[in-house]
Amino acid sequence: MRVRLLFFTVCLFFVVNSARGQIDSVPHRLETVGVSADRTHSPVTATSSLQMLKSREISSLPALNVSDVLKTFAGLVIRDYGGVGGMKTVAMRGFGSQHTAVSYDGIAASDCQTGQIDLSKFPLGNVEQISLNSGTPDDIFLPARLMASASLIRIQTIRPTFREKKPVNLNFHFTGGSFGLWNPMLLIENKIYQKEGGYPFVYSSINVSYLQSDGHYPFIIRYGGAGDSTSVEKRTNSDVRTASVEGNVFTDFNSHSKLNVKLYYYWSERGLPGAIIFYNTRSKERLADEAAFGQVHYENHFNHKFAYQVNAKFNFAKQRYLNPEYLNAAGFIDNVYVQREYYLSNTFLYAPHRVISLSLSNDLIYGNMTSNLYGFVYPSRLQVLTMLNAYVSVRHVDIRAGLLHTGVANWSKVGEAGKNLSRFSPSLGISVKPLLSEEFHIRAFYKNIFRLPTFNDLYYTEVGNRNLRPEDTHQFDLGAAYTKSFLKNTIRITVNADGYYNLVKDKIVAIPSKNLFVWTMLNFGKVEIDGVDAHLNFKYQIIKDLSVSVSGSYTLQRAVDKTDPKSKTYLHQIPYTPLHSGSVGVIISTTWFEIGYTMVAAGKRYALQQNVAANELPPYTDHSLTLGHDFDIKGKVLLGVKGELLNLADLHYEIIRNYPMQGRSFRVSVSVKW
Amino acid sequence: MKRIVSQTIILLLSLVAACFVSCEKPEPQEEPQNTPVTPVVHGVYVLSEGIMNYNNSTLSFYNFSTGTVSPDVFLAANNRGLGDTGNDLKVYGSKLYCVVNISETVEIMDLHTAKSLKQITMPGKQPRRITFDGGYAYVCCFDGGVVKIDTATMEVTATAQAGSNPDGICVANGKLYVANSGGLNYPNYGTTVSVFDLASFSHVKEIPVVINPTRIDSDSQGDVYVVSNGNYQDVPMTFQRIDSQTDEVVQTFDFPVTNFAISGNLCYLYSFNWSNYTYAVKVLDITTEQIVKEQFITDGTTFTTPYGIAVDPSNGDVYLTDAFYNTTNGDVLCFGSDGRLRFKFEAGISPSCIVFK
Repeated sequence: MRVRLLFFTVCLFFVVNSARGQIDSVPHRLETVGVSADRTHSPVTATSSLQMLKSREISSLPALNVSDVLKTFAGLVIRDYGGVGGMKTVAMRGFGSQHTAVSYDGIAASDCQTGQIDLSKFPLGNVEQISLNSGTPDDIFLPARLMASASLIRIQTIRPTFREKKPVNLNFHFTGGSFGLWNPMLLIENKIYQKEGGYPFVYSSINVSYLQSDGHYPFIIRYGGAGDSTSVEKRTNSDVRTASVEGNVFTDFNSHSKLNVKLYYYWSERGLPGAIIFYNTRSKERLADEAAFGQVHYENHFNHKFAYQVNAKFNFAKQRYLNPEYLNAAGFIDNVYVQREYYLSNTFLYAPHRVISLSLSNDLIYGNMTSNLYGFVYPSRLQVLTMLNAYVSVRHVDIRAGLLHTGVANWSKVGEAGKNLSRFSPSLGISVKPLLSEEFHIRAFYKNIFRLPTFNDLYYTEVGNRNLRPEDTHQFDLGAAYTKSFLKNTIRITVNADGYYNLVKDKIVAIPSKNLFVWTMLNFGKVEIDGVDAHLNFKYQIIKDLSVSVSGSYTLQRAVDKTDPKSKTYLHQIPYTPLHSGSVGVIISTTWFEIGYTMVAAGKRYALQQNVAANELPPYTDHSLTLGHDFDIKGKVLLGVKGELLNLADLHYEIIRNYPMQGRSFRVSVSVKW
Repeated sequence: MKRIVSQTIILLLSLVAACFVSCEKPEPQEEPQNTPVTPVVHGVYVLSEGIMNYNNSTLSFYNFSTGTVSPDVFLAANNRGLGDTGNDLKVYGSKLYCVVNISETVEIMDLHTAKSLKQITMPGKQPRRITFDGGYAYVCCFDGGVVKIDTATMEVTATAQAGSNPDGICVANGKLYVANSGGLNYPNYGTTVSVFDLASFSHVKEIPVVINPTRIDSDSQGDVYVVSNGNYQDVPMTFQRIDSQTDEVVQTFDFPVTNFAISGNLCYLYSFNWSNYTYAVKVLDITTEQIVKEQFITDGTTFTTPYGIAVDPSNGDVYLTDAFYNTTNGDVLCFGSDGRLRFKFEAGISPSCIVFK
C-alpha cells in the first residue's frame, strides 16, 4: 500500500501539468511605484502560494467556465453538483468555500446571503487570466477586501488592444455540445477616442453571451454497494438558461492614470434537479437569478513615491426559489431573496525608499437583504476594513507584512441583530533567494483571518443563530520554487511545492434543533489540516513547429475533525476532502494543430463526517482530450476551431453524493476574431 | 433463566394491574388491537433514518444470542437500500413494514428474512407512519392522505383524507386517530387530531389539540396519548390524553414529552430540549396517570440526543437510542426495567424505530 502510494505520488510529481503558467509573470498594467509594484510577482518569486493560467493556456483545457479551469490547480477541491447548471464552489486547503474570495476585474464578487460564489456563473469567453492565491497576494496595492480572505481567486478579463488604425475588433465565439448545449458569445471592442501619440484614449467593449443546456444526461443509480442493483436513468429538471451582458469603458488619461467603468447584467433560470433519491426521481424545484452590478476603478501613479486607487461598486442580486409541489397549506413555496451591496475602497501606496513600500487601504462595505419569507428579519451589515501593508525587498529577501482591522456592525429590522465585531488580523510572508544566479526561492507565510457568519447563518428562518462568532483560520506555509531553462531556452522546468498547516476554530456547522427539519448553526467545530501542494511544469520546444508541455499537480490534504475527543468523528477526515488528488496535463503544439490531454483524479472521500464504509465515495479519474487550431486568414481574420471530448472513459462518478457527474460528452467551438 | 423470571414478574404485575383496571374502568377493551402474542424474541430490528438526500436509511439487526449487529439487513437481503428517510417500522403478523418518507415507499418484508415481499410506491404523498387493525395497514402521509393497505394481498384498497401533514397514526376503540402536524406549514402548524371510523373508513371528527401534534399512540384502556411539539416559541411541547369514548382531550400533563412507548400499564417517555440538549426519561403509570419514576435511568448512563424509545414486550427491557448530532451513526442502549444499562450497540444515522423479533 505504502509502495503504491509512493508510486502514485512520484508519478504525479514527474508525469506532470497542463498549461500552468508558472513561467509567466503578472503583467504590468501601468507605470509603477515602489518595489512591490516594480517586482513581477510570479508563482516562483511570490511570498505566498500562487498559481495562474492565461487565456492561451486556458484555451487548451477542457473548460466551459472558471471552475473547470480551477480543477487542474493544486490545493483545492471543486464541489461540483454536476451538469452545466449545477453549483460549483471551491474549498481551498480544507477551508469551506466562504473562505475564498473571488475578484472579477479587481473587485470582489459577493453574496452576503450564503457567502459562497458559484464559479459556474463565470464563463471563459472573455477571460484573460485566472489566478489563485493561498494567503495574501504580494501586490500590496490592492483593496483591503481582496486580502481579507484565506485565499483569493482572481479573474481578469481581456482589455482591448487595437492594431494601428483599426477602430473596431469583433470576436464571435460559439460552443455547442452534448445534452443540448448552446453557448454563443459576442465581444465588440471599440476605439472611441485616441489622441495621436497614444494618450489619452477611450476604449470600450461590450460582451453579450447566452448559454443553454437541457441537461438530460444519463447516469447510473446504484442502490447499494458493489454487485447490488443498479438502474440507468436520465437526469431530469437539470436544464439551464443564462444570459449576460457586460459593458466596459477604459479611459487612460496618460501613462500613469486611468479610469475603468464596468456595467454587468446577468439572468438565469434553471431546474434544481436535487439529489438522486432512490425510487423517487421526481424533481420540480426551480431557481431564477437576476444580478446587476456597476463598478468603477480609478488609479493614479502620481510619481515614483506615491500612487492612489479608488474602487466603487453597486451590486444587486435577486433570487427566486420555486417549489411547485411543496406539501404546505399553499401547496407550493415561492421565495424571493434580494440583496444589495454598496462598496467603496480607497488605497494609497507610498514608497519612501527603493527597498520599501507601504500601503494603506480602507474598504467600506454595506449590504442588506430583503425577502418575502415569513418572519424575515431584514438584516443589514456594515463592514469597515482597514489594512496596512509593508513590502520590503533587498537582494536575497522579500518580506510582506500586513495588519488588517475589521469592524462589523449588524442591524435587523425585526428582532435582535447579529453581534458587532472588531478584530485585528495579521499576516506575514517571506521569500528568500539563496543564490542570486539561480531562480530558486524558499517562501514561508502565516496568515490569520476569519470569515463572517453569513446572513443565512445568522438569520435564516428557524435556522439562524444571532450569537455566532466568525469562523477563525490560521495558515502556516513553507514552500520552495525553482525554475530553470536548458538547451538555449528550448527546455524549461518549473517546480513549486508547499507544505502547510491550517487550523479552523469556531467552525460554523449546522446541527439539528427543534426537530430534524430544523437545524441550527453553531460555532462548534475545530479542524486541523496539514498537507502538501506541488506542481511541476515541463516545456520543450523540440523544433520550431513542435513543442510539448507536460504538467502535473498533486495535493495531499489531511483535514481532520478535532472538535471533541469523545465523538465518533474525532480525527476523521472532513467530508468531501480527498487525502490525495491531482491532475496531469499534456499539450502538444504544432503549426497545424494543438492537442491537449487533461486528467483530474481524486482518491476516496467521505460524504459525511464519520469515516465509515457507508459514507465513502469511491476514487475517480476524469480524462479529457482537446484538439484545436487557429487559422490565420490573410492576417485579418483569425478563425479558431476546437473540439473537446470530455470524460473519455465514461466513468460515472459523483463529487457530491447523489449528484451524478456527466459521463462521456463532447463540445465543439468555433471562434471568429476580426 | 433471568428472562423467565422477569417475564413471570411482568406477567404477574400485568395481572394485578389488569385487576385494577377492570375495577376502575367499566368497559375495558377486550382483545388489544395489534399485540398478537409475541413469538420468541430473537433480536431487534432498528430503523435508522439517515440524512435527507443521502439515501442512507438502514435496517440493522441485533442478534440476542450472538450479541452481534448486522448493519443493514435490508440491503443484504435485497441488494438495494431502503432509500431516503425511513420514518416508521412496525411488525404485523409475519411481516415487517417500513415507511420510507422521501423515497415515498412502503416496504413490506418477511419478518424473519427482511426480504422485501412488496414495495408500494406512493408518488407525491410522502408517507410518514403506519398502524394496523383487522388485517389492514393504515399509512398516514404528509400530503394529508391516509392509505389503507390489505395486509394479505399487499394492495392499496382505499385512501381517505386527514388534515395537514399527518405525522402520527394509531387505532383505539374501533377508530383511527391521525395527528395533523402541519409541520411543513410554518408558522401555521396543525391543531387537530382527525378521527376516522374504521369500519366505514370515514371521517368522524376533528379533536382540537395543542399546536403541532406528532407522536400518537393508544393504550389498552382506550386512551390515546398525543405529543404536540408546540410552535417552538411561546407554546411549549405538550403531552395530552384523549379519551376514545368521548374523543376529547381529557388531560394535559404538566411535564413535556418528546417521545414515548407504552407497554402493559407503563408508559416510558422522554423529553428532549433541542436548544440546550437536556433531557429526562420518566415512567408514567397509565392507569393512575401518575409519574412513577422521575428518573428511569439509575446507573448514570447519559445521552447526547435521545431519539427513539421502545419496550421489549417479552421481558420489559427498555431501548433508547442516542442520535448524537444526527450526522454520525447512533447507538442503541438497552436498559433493564431497573433502569440499568444491559448492553448497547451501534446502528445507523438517527436510529428512531425499534421492533422485536
